[in-house]
Amino acid sequence: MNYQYVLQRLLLAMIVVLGVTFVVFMIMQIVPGDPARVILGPYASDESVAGLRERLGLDRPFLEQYLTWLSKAVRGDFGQSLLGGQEVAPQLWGRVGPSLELALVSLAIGLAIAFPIGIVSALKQGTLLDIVPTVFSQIGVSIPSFWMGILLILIFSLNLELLPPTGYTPISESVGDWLAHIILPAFTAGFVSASIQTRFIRSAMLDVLNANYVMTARAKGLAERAVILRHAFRNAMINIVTIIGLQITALFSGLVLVEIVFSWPGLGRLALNAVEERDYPLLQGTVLVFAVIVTLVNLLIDLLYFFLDPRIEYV
Amino acid sequence: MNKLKLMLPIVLLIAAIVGISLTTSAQMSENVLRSAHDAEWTGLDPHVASTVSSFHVLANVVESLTTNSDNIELTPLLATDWSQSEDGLTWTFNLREGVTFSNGEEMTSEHVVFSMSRILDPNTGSGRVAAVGGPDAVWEAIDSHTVTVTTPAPNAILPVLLAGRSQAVVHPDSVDENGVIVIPIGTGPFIVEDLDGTISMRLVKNENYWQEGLPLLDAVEISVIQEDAAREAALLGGEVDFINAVAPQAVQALQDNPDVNVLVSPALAYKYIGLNLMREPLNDARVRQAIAYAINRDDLCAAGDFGLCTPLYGGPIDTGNPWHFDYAPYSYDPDKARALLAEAGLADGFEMELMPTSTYQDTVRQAQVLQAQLAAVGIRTTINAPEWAEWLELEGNFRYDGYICSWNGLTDVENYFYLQHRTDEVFNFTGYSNSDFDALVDQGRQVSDFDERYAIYEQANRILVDAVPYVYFYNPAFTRAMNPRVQGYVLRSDNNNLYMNTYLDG
Amino acid sequence: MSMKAKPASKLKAPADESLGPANTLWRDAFRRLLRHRLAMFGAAVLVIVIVMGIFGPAISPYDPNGMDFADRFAGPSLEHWMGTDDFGRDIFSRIIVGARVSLQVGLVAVSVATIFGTALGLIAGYSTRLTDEVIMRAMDVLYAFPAILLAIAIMAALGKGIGNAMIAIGIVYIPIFARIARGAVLGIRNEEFIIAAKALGAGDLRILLAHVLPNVLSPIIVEITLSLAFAILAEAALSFLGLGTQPPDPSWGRMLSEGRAFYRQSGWMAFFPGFAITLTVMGFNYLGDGLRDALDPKLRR
Repeated sequence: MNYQYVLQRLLLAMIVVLGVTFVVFMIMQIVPGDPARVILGPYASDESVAGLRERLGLDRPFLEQYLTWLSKAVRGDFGQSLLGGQEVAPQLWGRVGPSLELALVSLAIGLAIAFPIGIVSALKQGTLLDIVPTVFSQIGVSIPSFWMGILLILIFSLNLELLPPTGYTPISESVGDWLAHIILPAFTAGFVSASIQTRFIRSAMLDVLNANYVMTARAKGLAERAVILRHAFRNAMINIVTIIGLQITALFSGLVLVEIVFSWPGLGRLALNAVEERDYPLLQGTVLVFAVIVTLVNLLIDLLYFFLDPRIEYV
Repeated sequence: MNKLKLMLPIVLLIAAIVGISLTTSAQMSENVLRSAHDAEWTGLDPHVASTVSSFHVLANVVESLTTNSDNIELTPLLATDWSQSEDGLTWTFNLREGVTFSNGEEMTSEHVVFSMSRILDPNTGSGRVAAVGGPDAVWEAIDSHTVTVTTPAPNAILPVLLAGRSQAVVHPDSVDENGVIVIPIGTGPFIVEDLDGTISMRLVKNENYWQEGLPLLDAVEISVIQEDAAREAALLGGEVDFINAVAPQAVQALQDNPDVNVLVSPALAYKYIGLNLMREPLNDARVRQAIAYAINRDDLCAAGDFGLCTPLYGGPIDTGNPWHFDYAPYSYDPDKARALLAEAGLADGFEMELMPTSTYQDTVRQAQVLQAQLAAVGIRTTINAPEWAEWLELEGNFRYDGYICSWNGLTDVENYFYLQHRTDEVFNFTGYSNSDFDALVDQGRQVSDFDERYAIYEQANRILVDAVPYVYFYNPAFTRAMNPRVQGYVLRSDNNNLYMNTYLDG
Repeated sequence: MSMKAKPASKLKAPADESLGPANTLWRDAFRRLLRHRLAMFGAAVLVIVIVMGIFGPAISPYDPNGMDFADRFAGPSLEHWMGTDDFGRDIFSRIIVGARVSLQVGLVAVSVATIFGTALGLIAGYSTRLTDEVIMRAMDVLYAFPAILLAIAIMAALGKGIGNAMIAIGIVYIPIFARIARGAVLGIRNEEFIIAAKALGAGDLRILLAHVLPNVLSPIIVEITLSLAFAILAEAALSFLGLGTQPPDPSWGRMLSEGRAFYRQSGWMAFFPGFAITLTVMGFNYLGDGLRDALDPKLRR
């Protein structure tokens, strides 16, 4: 039965991913702006534009273009970038790593900030220990992330000269350099998600602290510490896991801007450029990778939920 | 789980930050220039690419038959000399001996014919057909180091037109099975390596380069940093040695910094608004003249390029250029603008849309100043700033009232007039058509004597300035900034970005 | 996601046919809200922003689009409280007038998201398995996009400009409202009062509007205030990418985005709009948190 459930979820996830690629393809069809003209520039003649359109297959019917792309994509061939003609697939693989690294480090920073603040503020609801950290964490969710990124560059790179402002070094080359480059962007993205996580963690903790079984445990005379750790925290984890899952989508979204500000060689920057240049194959590939990651994470969360809380009923 | 465990990641992180700030930044390898460009290249096929950002890279990788010297004088490059036949229909180019491609093969006439024919082939989709003689030009190899090109009509300026890296000679192996050049195999001083999409690459020294002792650098590591502040921070923080553009507003501050060398050069370029002559009331020359009089170019220059520019009150060529024509009627005169509008029956003004592009923020800033200045004479404007891809489509289909843009890399007088204003030419997006003007610019292509050409273009300039399909704003300036260790780099007025003579001192 | 948590403790007091008890419920919530200090701070900020939004052009000391090239890059002074920008325009006036754009973006975008999202969520939660699956899978598709990319793609298709930005931001948030509404419906679908209404022969639409909707209102109200905050940030992000408001009309997002180019010469150009955005977004967030606490009686201690 579990096996069947996992299969069913996998199938649905695939449908979602397919849907995403179809939607992108559709949107790019109605978007004004001709990729052939972008490649050739403002001063190309209509004939050369038409010639290039034909060579790139842009003159084919919409469905044909989509199915051609799809049949190749399932075999791992994402075609060539319209601009520059580089293979899309290797470009994507080159960007997945840096994006995932940034996402994970951001998440770690976010959680490292959110857990202590969220838990303490739930336990000390209404006191200064609740309000001050809450206010602080609110800044993260309220400040435009690109502005915070630029401010961090100005402070830590230009004024204090502590950290490099932009760029990326692979972790395999130098761990120290990698860390130095990832801190500012990861903190920018992480601070935003920390604020949201703090709120969820706080309210998840409050939920369980007020739940009957915790009351019962208290009534049984268990030490407050034991109540919190053994009962409250473990049960709050269920909600928190869900929230982290939801956060990952938001985190990836936030990464787009952060990657641009910090010139991070990730998927978000690639996707944004693809939209700007009307580079359909590149955009398709990027969005597909995004969708797969997001959908996989959601799937994992669902399954994790199942193991954490056996009370869940599945349909 | 106790609090200490929860704090652990934070403690580790702080320790890491401290640790890194104590270690020095990346070791600088000898003789490698780290350069940050301001925009991602849009493909490296020299025959197809059209953006400045692509040619900032390509200029170091591929070469053309002719070129311009640092002082913008026509100079031999892959061709050593050239001559025109008596009837003016055929040009003969003698190729340089001993030039090898980066793959070690010697360059011969067949490579030149291959490259030029590739540009002419409509399937390539090159926008440079006119620059290699026009669609009916025929390129032929006479012997291993002589090529000819024959055109249906005399073309006096072909060697001038050929002086652009988009007319590059490439090895046929550059072209992949899809007919695309991803990385060109050229004869230039550098070779593209480690290409990562459009964000980073490494240019390494071409050991076979034909010019003795060049290039001086072993490699150039190019990264792209779009955000102005971040790019400057990267230079100031020592992450890069060189940046290929400085935001105009930051030039002063960088010039005051002893740790940075800033280069500023007037550009062979102009910024302008193109008016749609197919639309009412812009089809009335008086209305267009009114716009030309209504503009305060000093304010426009201050807002668009922060004073790093020379205002243009007449034609597109400023006083420092040998092709400057002394005809500048459009001094700032709002009263005259109002009078002209009244004469055209528009005493109450009219409404029009300004179309800058969000991709180039200077055009958006100019649009806002224009809007205020035009409002003062009764012309009410709205601003629509689409991004580049959409902008090109709107411009190409005459779906605009006035578009704001710039022309770059204009090395010959012809570049200022022919392609954008001759009737039905591919770059003529205003719909301007004047048979006298057409006859003049056609004639200008068939003459090579400077004085004779000057007289022809002086007339053409006057006709154009009076008709105002373009209202010229100003000539901008190009900027570079670098670590003082970087020596030998020449900032050229045609914006050619050459790393060949650059070296690192100490 | 197709799992259904057993209603752990999410029981809402059912709205009775008579409005009396429900009224008391709302009044209680309002009283609790008034005691919530941060929420009151948020409300105060919002009142100021709303006043600026409504009366902006009338109360701004200068013409927000009036240029003065003799007075560019002037720092904050008595004459220009927040200095002037690169065109010599008064930043304080532009902040005041720009409030309207931020509010408009927030209201329109969130209305789009609320109306469509809630409707879809209610339908999904209340109707057959198949409809539910189709709607929620479509929502998953939307949700699998990074929000900003989806907004950019929609903007690219619709054309830029503030109106399209509002629609794009709205579409991005539809799945969130759909999920909340659906979740809330699932929580109460089998409650006695719904079953009773059905037994009494009430039509589906009537049950949805009269019984289900009032019961999912409180999580939606909370989400609305939080989404308003996100919408204002999204406008800033789109402006950063050059897709938001078209010049010259001031929006905080565009002012911030333009001002960042002058960080060193005139830092105030980015600081004030950035501060205005941050403060307003915080205002909405505090109000949202306060509402959540106030509407959720079990959070009382």
